Amino acid sequence: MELAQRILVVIRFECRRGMILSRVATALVLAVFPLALVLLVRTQGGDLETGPRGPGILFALLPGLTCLMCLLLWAIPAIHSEVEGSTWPYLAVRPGGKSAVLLGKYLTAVAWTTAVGWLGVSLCAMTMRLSDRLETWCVLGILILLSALAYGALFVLLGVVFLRRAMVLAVGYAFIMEFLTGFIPAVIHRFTIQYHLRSLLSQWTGWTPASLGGAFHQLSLFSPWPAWGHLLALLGGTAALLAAAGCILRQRELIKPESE
Amino acid sequence: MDGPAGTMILLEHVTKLYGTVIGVNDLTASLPQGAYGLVGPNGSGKSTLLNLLTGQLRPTLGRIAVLGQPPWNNARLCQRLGVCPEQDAFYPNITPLEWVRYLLELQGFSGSEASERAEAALEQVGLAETRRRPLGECSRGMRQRAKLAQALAHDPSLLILDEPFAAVDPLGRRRMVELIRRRIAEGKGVVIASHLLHEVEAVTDRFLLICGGRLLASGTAEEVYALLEELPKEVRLRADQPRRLARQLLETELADAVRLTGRDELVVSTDSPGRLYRQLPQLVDRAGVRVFELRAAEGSLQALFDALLRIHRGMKILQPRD
Repeated sequence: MELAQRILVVIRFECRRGMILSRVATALVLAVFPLALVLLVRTQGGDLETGPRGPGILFALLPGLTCLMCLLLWAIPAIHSEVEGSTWPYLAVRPGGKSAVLLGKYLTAVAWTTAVGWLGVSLCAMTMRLSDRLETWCVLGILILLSALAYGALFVLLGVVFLRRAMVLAVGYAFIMEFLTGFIPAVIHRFTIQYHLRSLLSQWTGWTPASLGGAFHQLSLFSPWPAWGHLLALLGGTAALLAAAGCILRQRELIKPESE
Repeated sequence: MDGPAGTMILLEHVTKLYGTVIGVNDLTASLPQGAYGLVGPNGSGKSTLLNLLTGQLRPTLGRIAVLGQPPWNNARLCQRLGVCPEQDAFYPNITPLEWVRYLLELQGFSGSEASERAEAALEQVGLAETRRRPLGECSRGMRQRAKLAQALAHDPSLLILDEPFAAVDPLGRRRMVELIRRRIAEGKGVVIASHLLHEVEAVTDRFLLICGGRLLASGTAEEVYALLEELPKEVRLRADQPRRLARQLLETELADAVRLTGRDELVVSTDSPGRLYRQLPQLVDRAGVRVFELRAAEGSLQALFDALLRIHRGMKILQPRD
């Protein structure tokens, strides 16, 4: 209970601290980015909106790209920014301070990311020629939240393990594991977040790449698991990643000898 | 791990290694409740020791107890510690009031109580008027005061301060010194680290001298001055008959060597200045010499510090006399 209160304190403080022009502007740019891309393609005579393409492209742009970009900016440096800013020693000497800051900053990053994603999907749903706006908005809204929770936990863990090079590693991980391995039709892709999010999209909207035709049709890119299985995998994985990050942070000494 | 009753800090052969670099080396000390100055040059291991005491570092070897408890990952102990690290805290768009309140809420206080305590602590350190100015617009001295405020605000049993007066103007420094002294008078523990001896002397006369990660000396200033009496040193004397006095000093073997450096001045080299100080009045009286001035070449705490460092380089450890 005390930890929950302290986490709320951190979230409130971080939200207040984050209310600066540069961050709000960044958030707005990231929210508008998917719609801008879709409209740009439309002006060039392309069509990313109608039929089954709509949910697919929004999935790739919002729970995929936008969420990852937000979390790269806000989840990875959660602890590193405190250490670099020399504010960590003030937080670490508070009772339960390490865990509260980790989880509070994680949830703040998730909140910002989800807000950006929801704003983005709202703008797209209002503007794009989607066959079922409400269903697409609801499903993508949930997937954005799940994406923010799962990728956020993963990036926070990377940020705790690799304080200095976490951003580079996270970009590498996202590209190699999520976007290359995630599309390999083998068991390994089940270990990616992308796989579970994609399967949920498929189950909840009936969308499959097969409806696009072409080679995707042959690939087992979707899981036969029920939706709750994917939810369990995502939320369980999130909890495990956060627990690992918390344990590592508790055992790490984040004071460097250079500070002498 | 409890030390003797009343022990505030207990160090048992504490060593901290950063890879192959030694942070602190085999520190052993038992400090009763009170105020202590931790003195040493930059890079001597002061901050490492303070980080060990506050549980931000874990000793590689040895054991530590602060207020009877091991500090590493010890939330209960955190409730009783007030820490002012050396690092400059800097959330540019946050005001001192918001920052102190935030840290108090993390400490476990409710929002309203945290606000009250934060206001009171900022007033105590002289930041009442600038409490709503963003930290990014505050001077370093103001931020330093805010740092002290966050350490004091929850009324801790033990205050650990690392270079607390850095960049603080003389008036602010005086105010902070008074504040710390008041806490000491209330029976609260204080450990204050500084590389400036006069800062420590303003707060307490008990100190630990650390250099190269080793504890060179500990005790009150008087105890360490007593140690100094046993160090070879030079003493300057001004007398009406310097040659006669020089002869007497050499005959009585109070001096190892004497140099006449002026019409009425002589410089006495001695291996036992304590004996010289004790016997000089009788000797002067017996010789019928008038001494106008006696000045030890090394009289300040700074000189003591330098002397101890010189000894340290020879790896000789001083022990207080029984």
